[in-house]
Amino acid sequence: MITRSKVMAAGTTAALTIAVLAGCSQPAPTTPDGTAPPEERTLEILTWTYDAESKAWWDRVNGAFEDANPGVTVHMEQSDFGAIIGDFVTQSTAGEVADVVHIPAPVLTVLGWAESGFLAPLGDWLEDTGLGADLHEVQSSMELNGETYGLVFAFNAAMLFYNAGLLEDAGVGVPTTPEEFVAAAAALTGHSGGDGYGFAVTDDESVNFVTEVLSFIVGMEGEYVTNGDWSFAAPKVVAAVDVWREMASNTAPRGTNLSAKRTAFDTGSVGMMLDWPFYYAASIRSASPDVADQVTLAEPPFPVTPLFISQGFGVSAQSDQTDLAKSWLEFAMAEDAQRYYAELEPVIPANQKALSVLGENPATQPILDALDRAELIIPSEFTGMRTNSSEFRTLFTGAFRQLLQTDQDTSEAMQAFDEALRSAGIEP
Amino acid sequence: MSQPSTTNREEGVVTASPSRGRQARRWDWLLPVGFMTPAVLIGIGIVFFCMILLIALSLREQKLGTLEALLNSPMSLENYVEIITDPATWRSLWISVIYTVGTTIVPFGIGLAFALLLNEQMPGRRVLRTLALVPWAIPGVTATIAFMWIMQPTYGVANYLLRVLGISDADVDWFGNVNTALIAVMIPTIWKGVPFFLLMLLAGLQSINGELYEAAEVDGAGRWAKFRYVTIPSLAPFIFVSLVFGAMHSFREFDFIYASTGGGPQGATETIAVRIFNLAFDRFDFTGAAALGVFTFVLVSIVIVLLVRRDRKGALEGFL
Repeated sequence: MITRSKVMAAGTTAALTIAVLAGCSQPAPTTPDGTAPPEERTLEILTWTYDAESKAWWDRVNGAFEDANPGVTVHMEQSDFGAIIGDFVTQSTAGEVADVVHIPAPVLTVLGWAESGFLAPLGDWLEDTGLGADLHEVQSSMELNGETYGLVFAFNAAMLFYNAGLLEDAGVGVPTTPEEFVAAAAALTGHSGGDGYGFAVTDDESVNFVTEVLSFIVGMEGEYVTNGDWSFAAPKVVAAVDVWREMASNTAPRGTNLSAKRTAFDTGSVGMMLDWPFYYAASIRSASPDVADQVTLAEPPFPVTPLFISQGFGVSAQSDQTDLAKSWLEFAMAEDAQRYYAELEPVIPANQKALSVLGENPATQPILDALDRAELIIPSEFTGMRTNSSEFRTLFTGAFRQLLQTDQDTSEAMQAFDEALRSAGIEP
Repeated sequence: MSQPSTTNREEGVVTASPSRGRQARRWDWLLPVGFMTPAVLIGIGIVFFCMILLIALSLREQKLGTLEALLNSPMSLENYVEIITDPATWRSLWISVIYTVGTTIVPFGIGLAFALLLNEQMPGRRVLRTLALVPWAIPGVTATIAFMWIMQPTYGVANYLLRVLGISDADVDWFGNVNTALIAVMIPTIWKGVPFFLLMLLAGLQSINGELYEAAEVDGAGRWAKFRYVTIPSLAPFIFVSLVFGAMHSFREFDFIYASTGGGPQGATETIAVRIFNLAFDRFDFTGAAALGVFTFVLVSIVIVLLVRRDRKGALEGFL
C-alpha cells in the first residue's frame, strides 16, 4: 500500500536529484568579461628563510609571480635551517614534496639529491631561457653527469668582521695579511679587563667548522688536493693550518658553535671573526648598541678570498607542475630580485647583472673588491668529497679538533689525515 | 524472553531476576570491547604497517630515493651484511649499553636515596616532593641547552668552578672531547631521570606495611637490617619495573645526545638511536638505517623476553 509519507519521500528524492543534476549541468563560471577564470593552482616552496631577514624578498617575488600568473598562489613552507635537509629528503621519499626547494649548502647536497632522483633536470630549460649566460661560473656546482639539477641563488666570500672600536683601543690596524691577522688577534686578547678575546672560531662537529678551516687553507693558497689525491700534508696547507691553530688555541674562546661564536662577537667579547657576509645585517641588528656601530666588514686577510656556495634552488622531480616551478625560478633569478636580496642580506648574487649592487653600499664594497681573487673552498670538480661530505666531515672534524685539544705535530697530523681519507675510500 | 523485574518491597530495592542478571553479565564484556576495538585496531595497524614497511625497506639495495623507487629496487640482504660487519655498529651498540646502564643505575641510586628521604616525616616534605619532580617537566632539548651552557669550555659555570677551586685551569671541552663527551651527555639524562625513579620508588615505599618494620624491630633489626630485609624485598617489584622502564627509555634516548653532540665527537656519543638517525638523514642511507632499526628491534626484543621470563619466576629473584 502506497502511503502518503512514501509519496512525499519519493517526491523529495526526485526534487533533490533534479537539483543536483541541474547543478552539475550548469555552465562553467565566467569572469565579468565572459572569459573563463584562470585555473586555481598552488605553488609550494620549501625554505628556511621565510621568517628571517629575507621575508620581504619572498613577499615581493611571490607577489610579482602571482600577479603575472592569475589563479596561482604561492604557499611558503617554512622549515628550520638545521632541519630542512631532513625535511626535503623525508618529503621526497614519501612523495609529498614542495614544488620548489630552497637548497642549503648546495655544493654538499645537490649531487646526492640528484642521484636519488629527487631533483628535476633543468639543463634544457636553462638553455631555453638564456638565464645561464648571466650566472656566475659557480653554477657548474649544480651539475651531475652534464645535467643541471639546480640553480645557485647566492654565494658567499669569507670576510673579516671586526669591531673597529676594539681595534682602535688596542692600537691595532685592520689586518691584511695572515701575519697581521695573528698579531692583531694576540694584541686584542685580554681586552675589556682581561676577559676578551681577539678572535672567534667555530669549534664543533658541524660543516661550519669544516668551511672555516678550509677558508684558512684555501685563503693562504694551500692546495689540499694535488693530482687527484689528498695533500693536506703539503707545506702550504700545514702552514695555513698552523695559523688557524695558533689563533683558535690561543686567541679564541673554546667550544663555540656558530651561534656562540657570533654571539661572542656581537656582544663585544671578541674583536674579530671570519664569517660569511650575509650575517653582516643580522650582526648589526643583534649586537648591543655600542657594538653595532663598530661592526665593520673587511676583505679577508689572505691572498685568496675563500668562496662557499650558500644557497640554491631546485625543482622537485615529483612535482606535477614543474613548468610553473621553473617559471617561478625565473622570477627569483631575475636581476631586480637578485639585487633586492643582496640589499637585504649582503650575499654575492648568482646573477652577475646584479653584482654591482654590492658596490653601491660602502659597507659591502669590500665583498666586491675581494671577489677578484676568489676561489671556491670546495670546487665543483671535487665530486667524491661532495658526495661523501658526511664521512669527510666526520674525519675532518676529528683530525682538526684534535689539533686544538692536543700538542700533536701539525705536519704529522695532516699526514695521518690524508691516510685516513684514503683508508676510508673517500676520493677528492 | 527476558524475565520481568521483581521488587523487594521490604528492602525497597528493585532487582533483576537471577536468569536475566546472568544473561546481562554474559554480555557485559561486549560494551568495553566495542569501545576499545577501534583504538586497538588502529594502534596495532600502525605498528604493524610501520614494522612491515621498515622490514621491506631494509631488504632493498637502493640507499635513497622515493618510496616507490626504494620498494621497486632489487631485494638483498646487503644492508644487514653491511651493518653486522661494520665495526661502527658494534661500537654504537657498546656506547648504547654504557649510556643505558649509566643513565639507569645512577638516577636509580639517587632516586632511591631521595625516595627514602622524602618518605620520612619532616618539615617541607610536600614542597620538596613537588620540587623533586621539576626536572621531569623540563623538555629534553631545553635541559640539554642549559647543560651545554653550564659545561661550555670558556664561559661555562662548571669549568669556572674548577678554576676557582684550583682543580683545573684548562678550558675542558666536555662535549667536544672524545674522552669526556659520553659522560657529558649522560649528565643531563641522569638529572632528568631522577624524578621517574623517585616517584616509582616513593610509591613503592608507601605501599610497604608498617607492621613489617615493627616485627623486624621486635626481632632486634637495626636500620640497615630493616632496609636490607624489609624495604628492598618489598620494593623489588617496583625496582624491577622502574629499572626496566628506565633502561628502555635510556636505550632509545635521542634528544639529549643529538641536541648536544649529534653523536660526535668522532662517534663517541653515537648510540644506536642516534646512529640510525645519522644513517638516514646525514648519510642518506635510508635502507641501511631501516636494517639497523630492525636489527636493534630484534636485539631489544630478545633482552625484554629474557627479562620478562625471569620476572615470571620472581622479580629480581637471585639479585636481592
